[in-house]
Amino acid sequence: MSLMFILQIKALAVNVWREATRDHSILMLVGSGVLMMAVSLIFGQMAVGGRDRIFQDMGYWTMGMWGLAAVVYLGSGIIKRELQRKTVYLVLSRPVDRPTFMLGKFFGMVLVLASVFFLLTSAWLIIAVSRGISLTHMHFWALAFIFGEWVLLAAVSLFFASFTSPLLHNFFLVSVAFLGHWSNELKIFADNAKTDALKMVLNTLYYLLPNLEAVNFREAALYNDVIAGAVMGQGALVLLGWIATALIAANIVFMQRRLL
Amino acid sequence: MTAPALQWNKTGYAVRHGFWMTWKSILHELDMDVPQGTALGLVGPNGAGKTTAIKIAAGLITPTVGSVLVHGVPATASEARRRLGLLTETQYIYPHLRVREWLAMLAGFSGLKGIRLRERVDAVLDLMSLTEKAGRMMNTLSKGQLQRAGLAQALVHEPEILLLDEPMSGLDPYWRYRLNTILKDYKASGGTLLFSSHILADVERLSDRVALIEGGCVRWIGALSEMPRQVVGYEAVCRTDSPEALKALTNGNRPERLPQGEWRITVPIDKKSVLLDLSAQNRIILESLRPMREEIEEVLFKFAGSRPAPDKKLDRQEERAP
Repeated sequence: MSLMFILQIKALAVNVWREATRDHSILMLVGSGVLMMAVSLIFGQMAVGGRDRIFQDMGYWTMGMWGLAAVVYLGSGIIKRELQRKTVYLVLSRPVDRPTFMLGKFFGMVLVLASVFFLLTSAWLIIAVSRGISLTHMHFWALAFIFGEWVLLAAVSLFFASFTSPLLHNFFLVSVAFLGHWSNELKIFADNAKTDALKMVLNTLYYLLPNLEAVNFREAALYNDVIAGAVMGQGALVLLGWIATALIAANIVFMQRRLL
Repeated sequence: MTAPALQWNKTGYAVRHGFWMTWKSILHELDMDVPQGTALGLVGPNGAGKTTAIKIAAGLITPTVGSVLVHGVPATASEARRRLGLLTETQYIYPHLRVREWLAMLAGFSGLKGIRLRERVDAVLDLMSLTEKAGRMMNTLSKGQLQRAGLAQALVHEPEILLLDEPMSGLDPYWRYRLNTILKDYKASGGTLLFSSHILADVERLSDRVALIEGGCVRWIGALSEMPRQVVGYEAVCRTDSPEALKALTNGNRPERLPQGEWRITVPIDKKSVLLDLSAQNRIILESLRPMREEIEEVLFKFAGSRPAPDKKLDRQEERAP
């Protein structure tokens, strides 16, 4: 891997990060996430004996949903905007290859998501510690896999952004995120389906979509369960496999795109 | 003979168009080259294919037929793009970036880094008188400043070849003059220039050769001095005591009195012999006689509106035409 390739990816990624942070929407998203966590404390007061559990549960839910919102916001225009503003011409007229361009965009999204994740996680941890909630290593694993899910969604988002309109991108991405979390249910429905056609459709969806429940360790953290290292390793492989697949697919599509 | 820095080999380009996605041809067998260290100006009406020819040379789009080579390497290869600087007609900017950040990012894409990058960014900012604007957001620059910033990014990595699409667009007269000087210096230092322009005076000043493009084809290519421009009359400067004699030569137009007491007249072609007779009879003293040729614009528009002009390079084109 040449130094120039790394420098190009870095420059592209920093550009995405600058664009996102100088546009205040992403900061507002972080602010609203922190507010949501604070609101969860009020909900916790209403629950009998489950104040801390509500806070943790809502915290994880907020992280999941706000991550999806951040990916939708970042990804919907990440390619379209470049094509509309034609800034892609200036970048690609330099010795920047299209896969480098796409990787730069991807790592830029990851950089922004990492910033958002850091701020939200910090807020959540500060509140949790100040409330005297005992944190185990599973809490941190659950958080790490939430970030992994964000990165996976960023790769899928880039794939959709490489060929669809922002509206369709948002629809597809949200569908992947929700159906991905219902993946296990899809398999159960498929096994119990009475018609072959329905069984085939549900099975196809099951295999076509990333199984996001395989990387969901939030409940384990909530109830202080012990998860085997092999299961988490499997989750990490699911993440890596899907991220690589989505990025390769995004590159193949973008390589075919004609620019005029 | 210098090796061509840029070479279009029967290059064609077509796009899908309209509801039924039918193919629309934009370039047809474009065949031309730009030798190293020279300047080629592309002229032609809107939609002729000038910008597409430049975009193909910049490796942004791939020709549907034929090829474009940059120093013998396909234009789409990153090795070719390393040698190019591109100025688009409209400046495509990231509005959230400051001018310096924008230049540094683009210079970084071309492989500059560290102190060298900072030096080059400072140098082009200075060259384009944008040092004071370096900290400003790109979307706060005026059209002329953006155009200068565009040229700064094209020059920042010291490319061997400059591709400029309407470089004078949006510039005031002072900056048009400055840009002319900058581009002449660039060419003098061995750089190769390909540019399109609607301003023929700029084309005449900057280019060694001109290619007239129309309907995606090269209608005429050559030096402007080689352009077949017909003589439409003569401009004569003479001395005489009887200016009435001159009136007969000018189809009724009044001779113009010059400060030194001479008369300047425009003589139609068919009256040239009469003028020479008057001179032979010593009724006038002929100081100078200069043929007046068709304006370049007229010739180019005539080419564009009709069959290709009789030129040996055009004959080659016609041979190829189906």
